[in-house]
Amino acid sequence: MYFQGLLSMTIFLPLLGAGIILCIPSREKQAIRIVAACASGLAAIMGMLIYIFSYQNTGSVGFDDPNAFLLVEKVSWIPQFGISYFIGVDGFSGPMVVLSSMLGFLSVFVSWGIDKGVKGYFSLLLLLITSMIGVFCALDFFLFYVFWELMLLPMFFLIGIWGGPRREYAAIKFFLYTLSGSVLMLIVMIYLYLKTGGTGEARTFNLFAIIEAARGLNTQQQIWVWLGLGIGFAIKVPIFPFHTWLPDAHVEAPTAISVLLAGILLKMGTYGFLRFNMTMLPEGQAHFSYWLALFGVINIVYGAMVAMAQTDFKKLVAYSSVSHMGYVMLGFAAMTPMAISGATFQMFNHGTSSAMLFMLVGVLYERAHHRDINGFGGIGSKMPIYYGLSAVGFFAALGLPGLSGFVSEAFVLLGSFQTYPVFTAIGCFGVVLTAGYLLWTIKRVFLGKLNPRYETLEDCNGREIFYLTPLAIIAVILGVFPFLVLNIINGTAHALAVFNGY
Amino acid sequence: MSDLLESLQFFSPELLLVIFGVFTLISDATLSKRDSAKCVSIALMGVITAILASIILYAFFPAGDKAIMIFSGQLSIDKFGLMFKIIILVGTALVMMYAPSAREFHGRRMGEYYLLLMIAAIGMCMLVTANTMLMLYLSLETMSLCCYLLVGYLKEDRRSSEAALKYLIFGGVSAAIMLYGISLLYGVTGTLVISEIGPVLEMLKYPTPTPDSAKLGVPVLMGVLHNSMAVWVALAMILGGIFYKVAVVPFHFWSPDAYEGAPTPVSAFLSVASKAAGMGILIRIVSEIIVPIYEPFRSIYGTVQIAEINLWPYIFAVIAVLSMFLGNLAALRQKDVKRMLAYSSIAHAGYMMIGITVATYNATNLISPTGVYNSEGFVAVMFYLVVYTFMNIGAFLVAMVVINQKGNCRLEAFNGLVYRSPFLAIAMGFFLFSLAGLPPTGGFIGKFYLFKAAINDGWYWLTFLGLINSVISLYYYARVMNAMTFVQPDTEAELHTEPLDRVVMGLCIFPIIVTGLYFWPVYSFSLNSFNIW
Repeated sequence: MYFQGLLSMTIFLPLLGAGIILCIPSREKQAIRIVAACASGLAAIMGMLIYIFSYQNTGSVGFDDPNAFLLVEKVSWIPQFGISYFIGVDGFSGPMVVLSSMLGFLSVFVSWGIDKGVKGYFSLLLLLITSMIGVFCALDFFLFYVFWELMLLPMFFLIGIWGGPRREYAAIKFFLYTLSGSVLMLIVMIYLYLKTGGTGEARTFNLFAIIEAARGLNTQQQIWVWLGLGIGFAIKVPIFPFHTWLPDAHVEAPTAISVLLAGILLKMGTYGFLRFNMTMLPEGQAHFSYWLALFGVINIVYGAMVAMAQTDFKKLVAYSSVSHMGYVMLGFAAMTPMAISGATFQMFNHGTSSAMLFMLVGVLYERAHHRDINGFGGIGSKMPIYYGLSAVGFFAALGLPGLSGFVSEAFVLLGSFQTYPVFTAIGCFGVVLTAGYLLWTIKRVFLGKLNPRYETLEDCNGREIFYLTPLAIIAVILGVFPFLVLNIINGTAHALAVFNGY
Repeated sequence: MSDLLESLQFFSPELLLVIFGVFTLISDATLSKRDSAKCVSIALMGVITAILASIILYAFFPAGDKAIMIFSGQLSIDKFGLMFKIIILVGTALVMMYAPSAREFHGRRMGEYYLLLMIAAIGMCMLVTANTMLMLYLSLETMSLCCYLLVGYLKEDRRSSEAALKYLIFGGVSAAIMLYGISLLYGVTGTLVISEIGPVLEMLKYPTPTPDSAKLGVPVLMGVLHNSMAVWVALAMILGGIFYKVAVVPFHFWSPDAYEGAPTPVSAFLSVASKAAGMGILIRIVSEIIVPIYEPFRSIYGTVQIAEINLWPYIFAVIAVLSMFLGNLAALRQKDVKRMLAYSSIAHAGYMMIGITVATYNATNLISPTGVYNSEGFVAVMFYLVVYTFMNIGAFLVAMVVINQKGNCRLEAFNGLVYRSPFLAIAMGFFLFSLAGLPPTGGFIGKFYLFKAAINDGWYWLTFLGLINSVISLYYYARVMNAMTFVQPDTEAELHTEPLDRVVMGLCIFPIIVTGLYFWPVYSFSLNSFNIW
């Protein structure tokens, strides 16, 4: 086992970096940035190792079998309450861990230009990265909850201190929404904890014991537990009508935080559905899958339509996230292996493509200092590199064949059609809407006559190319060779679908 | 005589406080007015030795003994009482440590202030170990009297005097009502000893089963006290007096005014030590009087059944819900951080009432298969009090440092604190997030245990309301965070914090983090201390 301790290192290297940053005097801005880059870079390398390791062991499906998880580490934490530091990855969490570590690394470069409170910013950013990776790795409900909540604090401050003009409002709104979701989760967590442990056995927060306990509940109990967890995760996803915090948070957050928010934080909600609702509560899931599909489709269509009406570039991308997460929910509702694979893959692809879109918006905003889509025009000729990278990002997001978004959306729609033909048909219509607003945006921003204000616009610099290119490459590669990620997901997705009665 | 002498060793914490209190006063007389604050060292030494004495008594508590009755049964020294003593004294010590830097006290003689704190602490220590109703009343009054004086310590300050007067009037009335309740209970039972009242009432209610009834296996419910109104009224009056100390709705009216008007260290003292003492005696009364009256009936043949539905848990639950909602909703609207903390401490008392509710319910409305009650609710309250002591004292301390500089602690005074004193802002962040109950702080674990106890007994609605309140409370705590970090300061001048204040903050932050990450030691401490049943 050369990989022993790999996950822990991935989780805690950024935290170590944050600790080092706290010891550096705050005027050494460059040193702080370099430490942040090194710490998150090492985590990203670990992430790649995790990817390689998962790819080599695709037979290990994980899901509800503790022996089928990879890179498992288990250390007793508070044995009297059955709380342990228990982590591991499977087909659902593996890609997410890879994505988080990678986007964390890139986001350090996105925020290279931050000049106010550098020390605080980068230490909080690294703390955020630690908690994000931790959430995906945790196999102990208590540990999961601690990481889940730990993420709120850096997020609150990063939006509130380094955000846009309405940052205070956005930060508090984000904080309150997510906390309301997580307190519901807390009730369920305690409830399920008290259901574990039969006669003579100690109670435990071990996820697998919790899974067993939850499956033993009767239908009525499952429905309530599903609802408690589901609302908590739905706020995070966000599913309509809990989505209103998202545009505010995105618009006000600094670029790097938007990147992580769209790329990782939204995935935590859908990951929660996979890991908890669908794994633990087959009857609850069966009871609610129709509603999940309905709200998924509402997300797709509503998100796309609202996005179309936006003139703020960042808000448009934010609503496009709402729309894209709808596909994930639709796939979860359908529960065929193909739909679940597609939905999980969509989580990964949306993580890269929406992150890229936010980075692109950030690049433009740094130059023009506004985000009004109608205020640009014809800048494609001034910024050819930027235009090229944008085109990849936009087309990946709208699902052009040959790019990553297409594969996952096609999988979701194909897989869902057997279960929910009508919803899927409406969902397909969403693809057209997506293409509509994204192409229209390209037209308004890049094409047409050059706006005379932007005669002297500079093209992307080296740093921007450095953080945009990897995502563009991933979008292309996964469009052509989707199996690179799908192989990891498929086994687990299949096991989940079979469990849910496919 | 020998009883008296033997008793003294178990009374050592209080004795030490008395001795050092006298020394404090003497040393204050020898110091000039300007150096008057220096007598804190003697007072602090007194409290610390008292803490050590309590710890020693706790550690060497004779194994197997439930309680040691001292002074002819006036006080009962047990682990439960000693734990509360430790909490109260630690709170007192922390509050003492930050008084010297309080701007509010500048130019005053401080000897009496420390003496009053110490006497109040003695009253509280005796309250949590009181074994007779008379002792309960006396110690409650000792503590109250000192608290009135402390609140009104700034004699020329109108708000301080007004606060003291309000506190005094409310306090006097509630003490009188409580005394009336005690006399009623004495009339019914003929005893003043707390641990005897319950069994006597139980006996009056369920006389020994007659051979006939035992043969039938039916418990005889023909006690003279069945449905007796007198016991109800008496208990309600006594509990009312205690609730007044704990400051829960509807006995909370004094607390926002008193906390706002009082000097900040005194507010902290009231919100922590006074609350802890009140909770201590509340748990004692509930478990020694209410539970025995209503506990499931055991016939001599071992058949167990629930005697009568006990309404007290539901009353406690209503009080808990009202306190949480009123405290949190009122705190939302406060512009003054001290007043906000006052309302938030009402809400926190509400959270603790959840634990009391659950434990009372568990002991009286459920039949335990093992015959042992689940004391989880009480233990959770005790754990919560430990954490609450540190986080609330810390929060008041930060408010005091801001008052020292700005003269008030309205929300605007906190603007941009992080740029002016990062340490202070980060410390406040810890305290507020712990108060809001976010992991990885002790506040989260405290709430976690309270809600776990509640869910365990099926109080889902109470848990749900408690959690809704956590979210509401987050809003006003976040508003302070917002002012501290998101708003630019109006001056760039660095905010000076006294070294001693930094030490106190460190002493408060450390346990908050430790209980957040590895809480078993503190929890097992609470668990071992609860030995009343």
